[in-house]
Amino acid sequence: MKHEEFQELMELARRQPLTPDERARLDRFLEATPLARTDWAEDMALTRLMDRLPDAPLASNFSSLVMQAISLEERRVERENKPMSLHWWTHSWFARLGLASCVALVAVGGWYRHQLGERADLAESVATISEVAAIPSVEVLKDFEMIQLFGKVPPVADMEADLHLLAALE
Amino acid sequence: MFATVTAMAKPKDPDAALMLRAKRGDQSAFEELVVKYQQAVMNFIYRTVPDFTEAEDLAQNVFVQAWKARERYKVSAKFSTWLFTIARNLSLNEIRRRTRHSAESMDAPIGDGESDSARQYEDRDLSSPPDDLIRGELEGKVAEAVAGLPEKQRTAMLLAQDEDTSYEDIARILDCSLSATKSIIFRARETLKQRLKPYLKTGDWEDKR
Repeated sequence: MKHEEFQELMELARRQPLTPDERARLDRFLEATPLARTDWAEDMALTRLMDRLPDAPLASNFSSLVMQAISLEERRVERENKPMSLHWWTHSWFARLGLASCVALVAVGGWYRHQLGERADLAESVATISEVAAIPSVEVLKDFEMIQLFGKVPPVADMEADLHLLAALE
Repeated sequence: MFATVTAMAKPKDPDAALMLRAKRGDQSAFEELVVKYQQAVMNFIYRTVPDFTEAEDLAQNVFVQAWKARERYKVSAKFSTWLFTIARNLSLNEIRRRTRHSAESMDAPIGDGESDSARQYEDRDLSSPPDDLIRGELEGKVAEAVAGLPEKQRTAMLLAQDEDTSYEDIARILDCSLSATKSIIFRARETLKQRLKPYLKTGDWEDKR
């Protein structure tokens, strides 16, 4: 028997009595490997010690206390899941969905209104510019150069000749 | 054929059948499970949280949490494995809560492992105490040695005490592989053998029947 098999037998023996065949194999192994006898004895001794650990103290009404706690828990859950309660509003997926939808609607509405306002402002600007920068008629443009010339006031020195001409005509 | 279908629908594990009823809101079915596992859960918790009042509160909370989580219980899982996973998680939370309020490391043994050996030799100087006293002290030493193990080793050792809990179940509760679980149990047993060596050799453990 290999050491691994010995370990497996030891694990088995911790939980249940060995069969006669298993016991025979173990005895042969221990006969051939005397050093393993101490391991075996100590392991079985430890198993017996662990088995003798006493149960922890347990209140006689332990299960009643548990069921009372469960009943209280059920009542709490029922209260919180009641529709229209504050907890319901803050925890229910339905209420959250409604709230999220409202927020989304307000946001979209606000954005659309903003868009309308911008368009109105733009239209107003275009109208103002169109009034100021209206293109004049063709007749007006015909004498445009002449009008431009009339608008220019010649220097005083150049006017002397014209003044003499005017005096002569008078 | 209907009988076959019905038989197939009913789980073989009686605990699973009770949990199925509990999932439908049957508290009396759940109470049967509480009565069946209350001692085992209390033993497990008490060896992790050695204060009786706190251990009792925690043990009760294990079942309350199991009730609250009943929708998540799968019939394919062994009920005891699922229950002790909850118990272990709550114990770990309690240990973390305690370490936040103290300077102790989370993985440090609950008891003072270093003083165990000194106390063991000290006990041998007692002159012929009554058998019950010897037995009581010995059980105290064993409990102390187990409490002094690191958390995973302690959990594995306590769960392995139940012959209905396989190493595979323990691996699931510890959330590690089967080979790792066997290694953890091996190391735990070696540590306990060292700490309890005088008691293993002197034969003080033998029942005088």
